[in-house]
Amino acid sequence: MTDTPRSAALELASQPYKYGFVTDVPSDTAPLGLSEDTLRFISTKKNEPSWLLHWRLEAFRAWTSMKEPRWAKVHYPPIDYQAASYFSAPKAGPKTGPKTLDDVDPEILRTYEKLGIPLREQEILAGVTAPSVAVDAVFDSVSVATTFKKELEKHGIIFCPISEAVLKYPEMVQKYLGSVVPVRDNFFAALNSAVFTDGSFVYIPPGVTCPMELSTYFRINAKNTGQFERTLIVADHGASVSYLEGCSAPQRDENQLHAAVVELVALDDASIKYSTVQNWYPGDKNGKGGIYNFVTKRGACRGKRSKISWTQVETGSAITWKYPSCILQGDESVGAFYSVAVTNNAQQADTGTKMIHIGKNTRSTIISKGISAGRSQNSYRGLVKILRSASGARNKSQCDSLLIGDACGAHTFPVIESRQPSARVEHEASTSKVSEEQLFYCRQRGLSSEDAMALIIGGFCREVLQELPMEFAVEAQKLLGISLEGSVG
Amino acid sequence: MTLAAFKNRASQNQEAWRYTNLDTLLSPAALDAEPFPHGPHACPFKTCLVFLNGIFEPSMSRFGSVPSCLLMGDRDSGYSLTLGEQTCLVAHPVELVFASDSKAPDEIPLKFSISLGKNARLSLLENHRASAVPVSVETSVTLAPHAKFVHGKIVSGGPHLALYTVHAAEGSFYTNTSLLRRTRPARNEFSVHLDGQGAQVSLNGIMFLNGHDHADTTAHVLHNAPHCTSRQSYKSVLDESARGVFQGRITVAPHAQKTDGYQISRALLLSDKAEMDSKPELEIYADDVSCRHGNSVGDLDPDALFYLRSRGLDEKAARDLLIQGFLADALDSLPVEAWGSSFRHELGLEPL
Repeated sequence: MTDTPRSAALELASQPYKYGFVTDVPSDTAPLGLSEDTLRFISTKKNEPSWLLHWRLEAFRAWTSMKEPRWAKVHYPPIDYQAASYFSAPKAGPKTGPKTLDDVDPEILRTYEKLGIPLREQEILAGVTAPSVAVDAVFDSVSVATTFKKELEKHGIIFCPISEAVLKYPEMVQKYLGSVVPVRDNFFAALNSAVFTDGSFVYIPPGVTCPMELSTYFRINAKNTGQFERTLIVADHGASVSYLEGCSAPQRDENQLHAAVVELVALDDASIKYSTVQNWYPGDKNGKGGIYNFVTKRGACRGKRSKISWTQVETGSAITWKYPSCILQGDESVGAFYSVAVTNNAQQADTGTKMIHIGKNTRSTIISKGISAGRSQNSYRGLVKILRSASGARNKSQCDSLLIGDACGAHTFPVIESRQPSARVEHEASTSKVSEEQLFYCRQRGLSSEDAMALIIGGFCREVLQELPMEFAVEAQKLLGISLEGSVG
Repeated sequence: MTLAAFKNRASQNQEAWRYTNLDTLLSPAALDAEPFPHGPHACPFKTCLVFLNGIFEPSMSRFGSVPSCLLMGDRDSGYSLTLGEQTCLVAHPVELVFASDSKAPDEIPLKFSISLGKNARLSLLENHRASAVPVSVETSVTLAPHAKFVHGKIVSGGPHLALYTVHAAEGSFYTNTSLLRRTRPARNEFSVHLDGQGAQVSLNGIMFLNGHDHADTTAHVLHNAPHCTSRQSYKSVLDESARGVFQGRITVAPHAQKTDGYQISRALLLSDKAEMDSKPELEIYADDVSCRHGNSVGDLDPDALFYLRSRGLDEKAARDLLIQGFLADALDSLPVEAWGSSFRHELGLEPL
């Protein structure tokens, strides 16, 4: 009986990575290596104002004096930062990005079609029931298309590639860029600040509830490049937005670097919901290839009663180093972190969150579900910090790990620092495996062993999955199936 | 281990010493802040071994019915306590009293090695009287199969650094209950290796701090064999500007199946200047294990306070009662009943 679920698990786990193809488009790529000249190259290519170049140079100088962090529970050979190219854009596109979809290389459009990302608005509208989603599609270092811009403009919402925002709304970008994640924040954030190429900029004006989901899809395509995108979302007084992020990359034997920075700013009564389904190429069974995912995500609840919620489903990447955090500055602001991290084969994930309580009566919730299978290592690392000023603050954290197989590891590193007696902080964690009894029960009710496993894992992750917007929840459920189901024994 | 050796250890692993910075905590300015009261100490046990300024004083000690060969060695090479196979001293709890006087050197390094033979039983209470100079303790404990070591510890004040390394063989049992008070600062660190199948460890403690006290409990339990059980349970009561630190870690090796691990830290912050930092960690490489941890930090329950006050207790009495209640299960479950009076006395609580 022991063998059945295990083999079912293995079968499920051995499903290939669906998004591993390469799109053959001519691209304009910067020469290998990283120096101040690289930054000037990127800045010129993007036609940037001089303040941004200075900002990049400052970040680069800071980065050269910083050490790569080694405290995370991940192991990888030293990265040669000079062996990668820091800019790659599909050729033939006009410098500031295509004006209409007809300008976009049809190969790229086909790529997004294959990935299931709708870029043609009329097609999306033709879908009768599906709610519409505005998409910013980032291909290597540039944004190739942004949909529903006109519709959004009617509400005064700005949704565009950040390189365009730099030119069109410089005051706003200058005001908020680096205000949540400063250039010297950490090694990878400094690197990103120096060489970031594209990403999305979102501004929701006061009192506006964004009428549709906003989404960015990141695709790494070119060889020997890294992707360094920068996303900045600002929700003004009383505004609210739900934002989705997806990603994938071709299947390659070399490791590729992805170091993104995401900054969220929520003013009084604003609310931002940020959801990610991370599905970078995880490497093959033996751990060859895959994306190194070193991401800094942070949200600042600056205003009173503001709210930021992070939901992530992490299934891809050879290495994940990611801690979406909330700075709860405004009184009565709310932070939330819901995460499912799945690792299989030789994947390593070190992910978690930081909740910094500054304002009075701030509240935060952390729910983290880690699932490790194969020979993978999966760590939750979190910090809950209650400052003296945060009277009446509340935090509840729950971290559960599920182990599938006897060669993987599941680790929990929660840190709680409390300086305020009226604050309540609670943390709970458990580690377990899928029991034979649970499987047996499901199977004797007529479920196949795969379905039984899917049911149990679905139940384990339910609290997180139900936080995802509908379109994503379906996708995430499928992904979990692919990356995981059946590895249980 | 000397103070310098402790500082060296800290500099090599900054993450493990993140909340306890020896350089600032042991700076001359911090140390001279306030002298500690040297109260007389009445040892309730028949066996009481006294160490003055780090040196064993036979004239002040009494062995009772325990053979004097139990304790060997000297200050420089370290002291050793050895129990042969089948020796049982549970009926004769041993107390070690560590005191210092005006002739104390700049620091008092203490080195102990305790080893229990097969099926041996020992209960030992370490009583560190308040000291003005830093005391550093390095103790290694070796337990043969099915040995049982019941270990208690009271630190009444002063700078105190301790490292206990325990190796537990098959079926053996180690338990420690530590009480830290008036520590400026204290680091009480355990590294417990459960090397044999079915070994058990239970680490418990109370940190009861006020003023500018700083106490750090760091407990690392390594499950290296299957079917081992570990428990860590710490309670902290922090008033005024006190700072408590709990760093617990359970590591389960790949083949250590059927591990049962649990750790919990609960803290009461009684003042808005007090701080509690906790880091309960799990590091698990085996799949058939049950490991849980919990952590909570908060103030006294205002409803409970209100209830008591409505029954006629004044604010202070109500708070004291609730604090006693918070500590009650730790005190009630002391493995040696006779330790109860020492612990309660140190906490300023009425004897039961």
